[in-house]
Amino acid sequence: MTARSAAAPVAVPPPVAAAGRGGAFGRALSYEWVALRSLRTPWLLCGAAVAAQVLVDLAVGRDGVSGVRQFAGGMVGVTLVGFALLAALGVTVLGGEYRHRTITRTVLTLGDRRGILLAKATLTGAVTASVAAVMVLVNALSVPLLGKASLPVARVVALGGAAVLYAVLGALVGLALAGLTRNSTLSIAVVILWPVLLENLVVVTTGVSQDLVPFGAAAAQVQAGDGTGPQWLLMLPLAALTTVLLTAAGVLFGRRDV
Amino acid sequence: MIQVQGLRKRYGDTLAVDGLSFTVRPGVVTGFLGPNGAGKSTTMRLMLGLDAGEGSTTFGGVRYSELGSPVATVGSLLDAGAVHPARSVHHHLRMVAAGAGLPDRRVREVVSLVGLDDVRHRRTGGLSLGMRQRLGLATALLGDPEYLILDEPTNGLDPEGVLWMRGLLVRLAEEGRVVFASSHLLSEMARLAEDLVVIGRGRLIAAQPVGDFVAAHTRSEVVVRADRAVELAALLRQEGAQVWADESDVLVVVGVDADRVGAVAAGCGLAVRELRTRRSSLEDAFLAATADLTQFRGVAA
Repeated sequence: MTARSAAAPVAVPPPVAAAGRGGAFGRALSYEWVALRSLRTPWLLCGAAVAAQVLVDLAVGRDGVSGVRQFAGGMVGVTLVGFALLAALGVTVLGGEYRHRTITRTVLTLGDRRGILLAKATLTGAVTASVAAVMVLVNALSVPLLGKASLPVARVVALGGAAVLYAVLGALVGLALAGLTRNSTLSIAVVILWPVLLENLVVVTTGVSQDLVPFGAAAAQVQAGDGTGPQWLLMLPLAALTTVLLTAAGVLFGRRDV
Repeated sequence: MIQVQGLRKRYGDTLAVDGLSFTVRPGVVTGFLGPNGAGKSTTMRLMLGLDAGEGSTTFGGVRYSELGSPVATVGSLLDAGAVHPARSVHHHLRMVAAGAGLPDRRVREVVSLVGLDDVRHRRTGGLSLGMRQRLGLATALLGDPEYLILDEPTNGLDPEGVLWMRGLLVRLAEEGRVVFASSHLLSEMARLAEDLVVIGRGRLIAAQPVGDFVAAHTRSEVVVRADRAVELAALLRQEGAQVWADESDVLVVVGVDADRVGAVAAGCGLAVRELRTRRSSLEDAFLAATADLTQFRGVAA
């Protein structure tokens, strides 16, 4: 099959609408949404995260454990597997643009670089939150269905909310790292190794409190199956880290050549 | 009108673009020429605000970064390979259209315009370079822009494609648009462009109509084949011409036109068997203009 040129010059009618239809941020969101859903990778990552939650819920121990503890135990699906997959999604949203040099077209189309990063962060946050919420719902349904135990709605909302927030912040850290490094592979490696290796090394070698390391402190809140529930203040280190990394990524994105 | 003022870009110790200033007028295709490494692509990226540097570029008085809807004002084709290989032709264009607030109908129009109807659902990773070039042009034309910035638009196209691209760009210029296109194919540029911007090592060499550039950097020669060449040469020198022998009976004359050479020969009864003007090409002019500014040059075989 070959490309064929229009044989004779034909007048190109101008586009009817609306070169400026929708606000700039709305157009940036539309652009990012089409970009995201037109590729297979984001769908695979999101689907794999939900599938992983199902597998975790099938594997988690339930004998003699309260509903809340079953639910908290199942949250490892979000904090471990889901986190890694959704952080990879965050990396892909920006890192994939550098890998395939499409960032140039994105900047040429949307213009405002801060708006581009904001749109990417908003979309990443929304998609990640949606997927994490489905994972929480799957986990919550598994308690009465598989564990034959009751589950207080208030605790589901509290722990589930912490899980969703954790996943969203993890994905945004991935997005920010991709912006800083402009390298998908490096960013995925860093964002996955950070909670499981780097933070543990810091805790062991420096004796710093587990409550102060961003990912460790936040993940502990998601799995707080005792009576206390999540302590939201302990999510702050991760929120602060995310804010700092995103701000740095935004500053560099505004200054660098694309 | 595109107004470029004082563009400058440095990579470490290398000054890639050095104070470039020129204007590009509407209604004609303006060619952008320079040897490899002259800074053409960097200049275009600076013009579009992709690279950080000094100077300014305005499109109708407005910088690219200040355009409300860039796609509807400036269409650009910088790197045809800069597409996600797993995204289809249609989705690539749909994405850009969404970012510009353009309807799906416009995507179908430009796909047809560039002749990619048959492959619109094919992933861009499966496209040939020529097809990607067409996709890049479709992307540039999506917003029906007044300004077009095209880096090597004929790169990878087959002869039919080159012919088509030439016709399209000329037509777009005739519609009153500003078309600024770089190319390393001088013969192609000679057919396509009316104006030229020529750079070498990041510096401006010329910004003028093609004819003026050729005239400024080359000279016309009269070639005459005559029986008594030595005698004719002496007569022409008396007329103030520079004359040298190309072969035993062939003279190359500079400084007087063919009519005058014919008249001098006839006046002395010399038989002339060949008399013609040899004009230099754009290629000759380009090579002459950039002779000292070519960075990368192969060794003669």
